[in-house]
Amino acid sequence: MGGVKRKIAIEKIQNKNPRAVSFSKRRKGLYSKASELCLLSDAEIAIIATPVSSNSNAAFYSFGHSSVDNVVAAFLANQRPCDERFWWEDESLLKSENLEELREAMDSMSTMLRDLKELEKQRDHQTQTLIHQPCSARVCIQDYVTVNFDGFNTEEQTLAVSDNSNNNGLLGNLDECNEDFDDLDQIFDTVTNSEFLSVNLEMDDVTVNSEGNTEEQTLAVSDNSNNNGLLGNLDECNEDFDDLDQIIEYLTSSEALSMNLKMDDV
Amino acid sequence: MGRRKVTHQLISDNATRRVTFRKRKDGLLKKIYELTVLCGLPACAIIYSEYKDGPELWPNLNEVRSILNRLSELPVEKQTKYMMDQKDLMNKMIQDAEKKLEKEKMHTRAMKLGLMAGSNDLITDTDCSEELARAADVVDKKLKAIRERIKAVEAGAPIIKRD
Repeated sequence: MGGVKRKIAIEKIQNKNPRAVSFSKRRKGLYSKASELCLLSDAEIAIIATPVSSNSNAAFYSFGHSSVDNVVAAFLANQRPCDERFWWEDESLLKSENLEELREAMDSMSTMLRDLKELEKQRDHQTQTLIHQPCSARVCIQDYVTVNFDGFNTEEQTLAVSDNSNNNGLLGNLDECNEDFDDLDQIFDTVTNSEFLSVNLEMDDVTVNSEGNTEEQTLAVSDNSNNNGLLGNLDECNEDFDDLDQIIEYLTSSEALSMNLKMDDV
Repeated sequence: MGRRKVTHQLISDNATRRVTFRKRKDGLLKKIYELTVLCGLPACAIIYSEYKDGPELWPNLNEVRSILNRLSELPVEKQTKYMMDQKDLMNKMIQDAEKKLEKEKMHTRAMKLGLMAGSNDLITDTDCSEELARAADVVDKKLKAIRERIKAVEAGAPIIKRD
């Protein structure tokens, strides 16, 4: 502790202003100590101090827990202050025969229950937002592979060039599918040629380089290890396989391509 | 002097709580005694606890009754004008802490302004319009203080101010 504190004698301060200042400071400290005592020991306290002013009409200073009125009333009535409880813990409510009172209690309970459910729903909604992003990326992978057989071979070479490991390759593939999902209708309507595909792939390469890292971090957050991520992707493809029947007519080639996809991943 | 920081919640152990209550109660009553002696005014305390059936009174029954009689004679708004409970005390503490924080922020801003003014390059290089706005605020306050000081000196106040 810095400095030497001078200990004062406990006697009345004669000068008026220092006395008032001392009263203010010590009153604050006194209230603080009383507050701590109430918190630590579950006691109920009332402290009442007369004013500094000699005017008999001046206001009193007081601090109380639970409240000054409560403690003083209990003291004057010669009994302990009543404990504070929640309203639904009241025993007389269980034995009550008043319909109005019971109906009000039920309405209050319903309101509280509804509020709690709403809070719980908000919490769940925040959790769902985190999971939503990887799912949308997984859906796209199968559509792209099914549509373009020539593109598949070219894409395989592209992955070897742009990424070092298989994990990154698969992540890059997801990003490409994400981009191409909106263009699916155009690809079906237009006759595909090699120039269009080569230009499209070049653009996709740029996209892969920029977004691959972000996707990798997302997977790292959502899964414990990369292996689990890959298995999750495969399961997702299998589940969405049935939806392709509504979009594409080539059943046999789809099955063959999905078989190739699984073999490549293994 | 306490040996460790006390958590502000109900003490679960019954024996420890009892000992803490007795020690702190004695300290509290000592503080009230000091207040009454230093400021020359009567005060009283009423304490209910689970370790004693009736209330514990300080200084004694007659004094407490006398003060309560004086309290009851006042009109209601005078009674409740300076009346506090746990919630009011906590809110007051929060307000005091916020005031202190604001004062520290102002102090930090002034020091940062001093550093900024020392090196001229910093202001022109970076785009710090927000910082400049805050700096302008600090400068305005200082100018106002200087003008008031000049006015006081012209009115005959001593040139060197002694605290």
